[in-house]
Amino acid sequence: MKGLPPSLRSRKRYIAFRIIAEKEVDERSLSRALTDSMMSLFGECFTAGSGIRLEYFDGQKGIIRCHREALEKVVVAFTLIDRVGEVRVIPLTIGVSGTIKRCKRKYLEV
Amino acid sequence: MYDFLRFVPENLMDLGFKSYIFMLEKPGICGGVVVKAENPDDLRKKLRKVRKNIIVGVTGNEAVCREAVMRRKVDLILDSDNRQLDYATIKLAAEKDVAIELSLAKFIRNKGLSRMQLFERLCDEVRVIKKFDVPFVVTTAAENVYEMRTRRQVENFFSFFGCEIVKARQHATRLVRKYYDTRFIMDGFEIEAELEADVKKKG
Repeated sequence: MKGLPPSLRSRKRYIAFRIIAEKEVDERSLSRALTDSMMSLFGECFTAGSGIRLEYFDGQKGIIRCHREALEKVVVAFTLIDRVGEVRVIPLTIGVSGTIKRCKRKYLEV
Repeated sequence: MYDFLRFVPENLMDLGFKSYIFMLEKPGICGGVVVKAENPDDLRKKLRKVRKNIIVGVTGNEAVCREAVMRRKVDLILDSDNRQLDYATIKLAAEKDVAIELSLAKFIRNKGLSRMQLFERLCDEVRVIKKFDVPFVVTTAAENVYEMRTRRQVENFFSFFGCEIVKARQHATRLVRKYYDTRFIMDGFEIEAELEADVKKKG
């Protein structure tokens, strides 16, 4: 929801990750695979409430955004991804941060 | 923490583990041996051929696991897609100091209803493990490179289901040190320094 005051905005966490795959992985397909994994594990309601978004992805490294309360479950769902589309992948988490700036600086060296 | 793999990868990535233990049917230099048995008699025959001073992991059906837990040579009950441990076997594992492996790979391999049933089994096993303080280890048990994950991912996954990761680390360390650390005698009891006379004798 746009225009919420800071006191009502949810606290977020940014998960830095990297993907190891034989072929190139598309950002849209990865986002889809992540959402599918969340929905199959925790259902539509929880996935909707987790605030999960793929913030940034350059083909190998990326950042996932989610609500603070849903962090553990998002990491579990991400760990259980084994393929994106037709491509087999190895999803590895690098770290978690409270701000996107720090996440990029510390984990992605951007 | 240590990861117990079921294969030897060509290039080992740094995934946050202290070291890797390769559990294979034909053991190499650094690793353990996997004993696959179809029934308790088969298990006994295969255990007789296993050499000493190696980590022994057993995989099989309920009867095989129950027999394995009572054997002195067995250190670890390995996890698999169709492993079914009952209450009595887990309780006995605590008394006989045999560790139970909880693996991530089976959750990656399965989807849908079969995965749901694996989660159900995992929750039950964790509950009994906590009740009797059974030694256990959490691993990837990867059979190929696509099933490998970082240490943090494995620990987060199992702590989400209620596992005490600190205890899992301690049990894994104890299991590995028992065979690969010459200074280790038992929990809280290890050789600090050797006497000069002993060093000269060895040298």
